[in-house]
Amino acid sequence: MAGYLKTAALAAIAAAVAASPAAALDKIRMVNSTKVVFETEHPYAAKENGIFEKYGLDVSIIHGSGGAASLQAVITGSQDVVWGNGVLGVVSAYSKGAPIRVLGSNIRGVPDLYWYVKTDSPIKSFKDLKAEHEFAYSRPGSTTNLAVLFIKEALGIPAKAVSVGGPSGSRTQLMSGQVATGWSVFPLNKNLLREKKIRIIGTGAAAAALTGTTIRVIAANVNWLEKNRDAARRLMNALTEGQARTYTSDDQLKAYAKRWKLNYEDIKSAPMDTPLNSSTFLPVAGLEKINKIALENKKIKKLLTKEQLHELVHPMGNKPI
Amino acid sequence: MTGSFKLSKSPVLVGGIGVAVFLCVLEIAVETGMVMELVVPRPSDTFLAFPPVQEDMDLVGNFFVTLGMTAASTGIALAIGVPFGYFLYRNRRYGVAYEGWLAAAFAAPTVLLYPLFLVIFGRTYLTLIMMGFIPGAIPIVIQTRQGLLGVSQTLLNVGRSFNVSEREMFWKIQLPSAVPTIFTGIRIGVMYTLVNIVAIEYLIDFGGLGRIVSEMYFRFDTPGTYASIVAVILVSVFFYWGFGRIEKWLRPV
Repeated sequence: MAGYLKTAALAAIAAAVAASPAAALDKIRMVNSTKVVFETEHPYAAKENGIFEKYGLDVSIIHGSGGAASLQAVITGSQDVVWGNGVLGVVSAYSKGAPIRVLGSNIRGVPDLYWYVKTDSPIKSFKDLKAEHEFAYSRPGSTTNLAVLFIKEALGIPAKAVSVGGPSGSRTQLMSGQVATGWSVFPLNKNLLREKKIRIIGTGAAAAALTGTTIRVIAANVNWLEKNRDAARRLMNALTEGQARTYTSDDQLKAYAKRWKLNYEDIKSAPMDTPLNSSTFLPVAGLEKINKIALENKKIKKLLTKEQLHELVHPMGNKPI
Repeated sequence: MTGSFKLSKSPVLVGGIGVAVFLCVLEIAVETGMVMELVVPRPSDTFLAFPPVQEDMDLVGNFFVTLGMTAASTGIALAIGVPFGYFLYRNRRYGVAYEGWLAAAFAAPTVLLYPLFLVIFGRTYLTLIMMGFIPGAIPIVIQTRQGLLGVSQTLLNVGRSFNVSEREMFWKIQLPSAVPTIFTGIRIGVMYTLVNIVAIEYLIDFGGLGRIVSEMYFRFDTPGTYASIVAVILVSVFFYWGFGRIEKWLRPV
């Protein structure tokens, strides 16, 4: 009788283990710093198409409210990985001793940013911006602020840079006539473009000096990374597959449109608006330039040393050699 | 026992000792790693952060910007809130009709309406003042009405027995009796006003101390963030102390 019970108990345990495949998967908590933007779609593609599971991962994805808050969640260890955080914030936090490491580049340059005016505006392109015009950016020290400064320098634009907050605040202020330009990121506001309420006057590609420089990154808590090096590597490989799917699958684009309640017609061109060659996870490029920009923008008190920059980047989850 | 009796005679000292003990415990907790330094800095580091934040962002100047915005909002809230509260007291049917709506409006997160205010008033100080005024005025209206409704009937009867005029009845009996309740509304109102103004400054990166908190936070300068938060607390302390003094002046007993 006892032998029978023992066999039954073992069988029950085996059945329970077999019935819960997630138990065998490595759990990773990811915080996505920005919603809707095209390059934030890759983790969803990996999750919804079983790619994470294929790599033995169970990844939860939550949304943070912007870069600093999302990064804070990883620094404190309440999340393991942050997706799409501004590199300046990461460099700034690292310089203050934050346990944070970069796993890969999220985007190089700012090709996905664009500036627009109301359709009836006399401004046709960046070059039409005069000293009396406001050249919108989100907030001081942000990616858009950098882009505006670099565009002004590259094209010799005299317009004054004005902080207007996020894309929705920017749109409100432009449409109510308080500022001459608005900023956005593809595919946001594409409906207004389609309805011919606004007109694009230029994109972040004009910030030529930022081309090829990593602007947003994927980063992880170093304490988590040291204990889960293999899981981090598998995560990056899974994300690479997820990214490939986002760029090549029409179904994934439809899922993207459905998730954020976007018009499919508005996001069809998203893979062209954010070209794949700017959003591959490697290389993490131009950190020396970012180091200097961070100092100029008071994000760091002194330049990071070569050794610190080397320590900061763990390409694709691997320890820097 | 004698010692504790003496301490109870000096509430300011007791409060100061409590804060000092809390700061010492926090200093030790951060020093020993029990509290993460990147999230909460050592109190000593926060103290040392004042000069650099002042040099970089003009903390004192911005302290007065936020103080001025809060004072302006509270002034408008008082100028409109007290008479409106009196109106609702005198016209009981309106009072009954609107009190529920006012309470509901007070509970609403009006701070989320900032894009609308940006459209109406632009990226100006007027947006901050108006967004501070709304949550400040509502408790003043409600508490003014409640305070006047709560005036003892005996006191009113005594006034009537002396044949006092309506004006005298208000200034000599009703208002002094209602002052504690009205000031409760004012204190609540000024705190909500300050919170709203600092929140909007933080959100739209414009104005005084909220903008500095935001800037320091985005730089991951934790001592600088806390130093600017301490400055916000000082604004709050100033108003709390100031209205306490005014209340005592209006109702010395």
